[in-house]
Parts: sequence; structure tokens; C-alpha cells
Amino acid sequence: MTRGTKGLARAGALALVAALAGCANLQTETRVERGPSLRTFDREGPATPGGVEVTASAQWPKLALGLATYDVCKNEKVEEYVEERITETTAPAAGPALGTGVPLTLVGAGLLATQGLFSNKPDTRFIDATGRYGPTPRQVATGWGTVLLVVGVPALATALIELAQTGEKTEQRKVESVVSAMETHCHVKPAAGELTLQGGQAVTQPLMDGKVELTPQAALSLDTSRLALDGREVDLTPEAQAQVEQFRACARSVPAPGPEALAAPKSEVVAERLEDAISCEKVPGAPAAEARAAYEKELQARRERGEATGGPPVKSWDEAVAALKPELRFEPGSPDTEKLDAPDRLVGQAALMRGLLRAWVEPNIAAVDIGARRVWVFLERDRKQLGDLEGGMRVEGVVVVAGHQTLGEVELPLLRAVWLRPAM
Amino acid sequence: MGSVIARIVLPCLVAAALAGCTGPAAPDAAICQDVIHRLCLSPRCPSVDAALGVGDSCESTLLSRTGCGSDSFMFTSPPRDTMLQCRVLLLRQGNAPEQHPSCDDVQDFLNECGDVVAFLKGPTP
Repeated sequence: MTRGTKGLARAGALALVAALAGCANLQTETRVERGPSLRTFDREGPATPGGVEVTASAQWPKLALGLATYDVCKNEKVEEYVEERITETTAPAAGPALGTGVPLTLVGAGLLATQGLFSNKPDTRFIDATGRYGPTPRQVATGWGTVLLVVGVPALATALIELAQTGEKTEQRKVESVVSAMETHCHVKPAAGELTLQGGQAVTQPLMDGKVELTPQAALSLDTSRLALDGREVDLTPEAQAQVEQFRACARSVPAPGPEALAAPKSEVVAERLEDAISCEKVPGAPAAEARAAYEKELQARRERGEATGGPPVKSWDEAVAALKPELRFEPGSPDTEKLDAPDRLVGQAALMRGLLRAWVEPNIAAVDIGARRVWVFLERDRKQLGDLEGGMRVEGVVVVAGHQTLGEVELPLLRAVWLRPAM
Repeated sequence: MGSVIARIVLPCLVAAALAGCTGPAAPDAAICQDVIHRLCLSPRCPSVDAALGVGDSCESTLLSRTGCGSDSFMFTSPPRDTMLQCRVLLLRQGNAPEQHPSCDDVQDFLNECGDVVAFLKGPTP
């Protein structure tokens, strides 16, 4: 091995060590933590275009529709807090590098420092193939010392550099977080333009301070699903829709026609007008009470004549009791039950009935036992509307005495049931 | 990293470092004495006795013939390099001072190094 080759080998080895030892291995881990809350405040977001709001208010005989434009404003509840970004740097290899670098550096430096203490006499017992004696102890010590320093110093330097860079760094910044957001109508102002009332014949009316007034006739022909402001469709609020319907009910039912005119329509129509009059009672200024009384009187008269009136427009037990206000009680042990001996004297009178439903003899006629007395009960409404009413069931009903009825060869008092239900 | 240094890097560095560490050149007398000592190490190869005409006093005889026993001895013929090249044949089994060369190696030495054999035989009367 020539001296030049030896020199290159040494240089290569040194470069390799330097490269390996110079690679500081640092591990970085970053985590984000929420710090203390600084404040909470309300913030108004940018307004966005909303639309047109249509309200209604009725004062008989006028129905006023109010149109207003609005924007949608977003109100946010914002919490401001500190966000901490913590970066932790560790050097897992620093320990081993330090454990390697320190002893190697110390020993290497020690050998080089004390090389003068080693003998410089060659080992004459040994002659190599080139005819040279073996290295002197001083040469060995110098060689070892150099090698150990070459390895130890970079390792030590690497360890020290890594240790210097380890630690924890914290960065703080303010963060805003929207806790809640609520959208409301804002910047409400009366609309301007022309309102087109669809339905029947389209009519266009200019708005006066955002309002337009309708007569009862105009309200009846109003198609609330096709209102348009300057050609753009607008919708009523649910409350406005309900008020329009109540006003229309008034338009249909008040004032009630005279007795002669009232006798003409079918009972179903009269019952519907009665329902409209009841709904109309919510409209301020409307003569709904008088109309309701007229319709109720007409229906009662028809019942007394034995005509099917379809009953008052009731939708529940309580409405039936409220409408008929029964004063008689047909139930076991009640003295009123004895009056069924002469049912023709009780025609048109309302009563509360309690008994045992024996069987349906006709689709709408049942035989009911009130104690030891049996009566026919005629159900004017569809039986299915009242649920399951089967034979053998205890029932109670709001009834009107309708005289007597013969079915087959059996004649019994006839009670017309406005409402029938299983007994509680 | 420490295990890499201990197992691979460090030995390589030591070998690289010590590869350039050698002592001074041995004097001609020491080289000549070393060759004679290896040839005469017992048990001597028969070819040594036959080729060099020596017996049990092999080493002392050869040192006397060649003059290598003197510290001032210097190679003339054969030259130092020739002696070193032929000596390498006797080092095939190892470099230790008491390492006995194989008789095959000795035979190679006797066959290939005529100048050295003639030197060891001494001047012709």
C-alpha cells in the first residue's frame, strides 16, 4: 500500500465520520392548546338582502295588508380566546452521542497529550514484509488518539448542538370563535310599488305607506298564493294568512241573511256558515255573534222538525257539549231516563247518555241499553270518525231526542247522537 | 448511532490509521538474521540441510558463513530488495518471529532464490 493510497484512505475515513456525526437528529412535535378566554362579545355580521314581509290586520269591514322590505341581519356571539401553539423539540440521539463523544474525546485527547511519555523505540522483534520494524508505542498512541478524536469530537459536537436546540417553544395568538349566530329581519321599512292581487281578475293597487286595504268582496277573491309586488311574488306570514282566512269567514257569513233566506240553503251550507261565523268572532268589529246566533237558531229549528242537520259543526266531545248544552241525563238510576217512556215530549232536547251498546242493527243505528231500557241511537256522522265502537262496549254520547223509531217490529225511543265515544 | 460507530466506523478508522504506522527500516543484518532463523527453525526441513549443507548448528553455521552476525553487515549481493522478496516466501504462514515456514514454502525459497541460496552457502573455496 503506497503512502498516497494511505493518505486517501485516511481522508475518506475522516470525511465519512464527519458526515455521519454531523447529522443532528431532531424530532419536533407541535400541539395546539386552547388558552384562557379573553372576552365574549356580540358582533353584527353584514346584512344580506331579505325580501318582502306581508302582514295583515283586520278591522271589520276592512282588511289591511302591510308590506315591508327587510334585510337579513346576522348577529353573532363571538368568543375571543388565546390559542397556544407549543412546539417541542427533542433529540433522542443526543444521549447516546454524548455517551460516545465524551469518553472517546477524552481518551483520544489524553493519548495525544501524553504521547511523549510513550517509548519511541521500535519493536525490533518484528520485521514486516517490507523490511521495517513494527510501530513504536508512541506511534500507536498517536494513531489511536487521532482516531478517537476523529470519532469522538464530531459525536460530542453533534450531541451538544442537539441539546442546545431541544426545548419547548410556545407561540400565542388571539383566535375568534363564533359561538352562536342568529338571523333576524332588520332594516324593515314600508315597501313601495304596486301590489297585484291574483285570483278572479287580477287587480293592481298602489301601496300607500306600505299598505293596501281590501273590502270583504276583494278579500274573497284574493289568492294569497299569488300576490306580487311590482311583478315579484311575495308570501304572507302564517299569522297574516290566518287573519285573512278569518276575515274571509266574516265575508262569507256576516251579516246573516233573514229567516226566510236562511231557510233555503241546505243544512250543510247553514252549518258551514255557522262555522264561518264562529271563526269571524276573532275579527274586531265584525257582527259575528249575531250571525252565529241566527245560524244556530236555524239549525236548531231544523232539528226540532226532525230534519237531519248534520249536527252542529263539532269536532270533539267538548265541542258537542258546548254546542248543545245538554240538561238531561239518560243513564241507569237517573230520573231523566224515566222520561223516555214518552220520547215525543222530549223531541229536540239535548241530553248526555250512558249505556251498553248491544249491537249495530243498521250501519248507523245501534241498540243501546240504558239500564233495563233499550233505545235506538242514530249516528249522523260517519261511524269511522269516532273510532272503534263495537257491540258489547260501554258508550257515552251527546244526543238529541228525536222521538221514536220502528225497526223490524220493534219500536223504541230514537236518540240522534251528535257525538259518541267509549265510556270513560 | 453508537453501535454503528463501535462496530463499523471505529475499526475501519483504526485500520486506516494504523496502516500508515510502521517503524524504521530494519538493518540488513537483522533481515539476514531473520531469514537464517526461519530456515533453521526446528524441525528443519530436509531440503535446508541438503541445499545448504547444514546440520544441527544450522543457524550459527549460516551466520558465520554470511557474516550476518555482525551488526555492521550490509547486503551487496544479493541486494537488500532481493533478500526481502525471497523472505516473503518464508512469511506465508505468518509474520511472527518464531513462525515456522512450511517445507513447501522453504522449497519454493530454495528453488526461486538462487542468489540468496548461493549467498547462504558462502564463498566457494
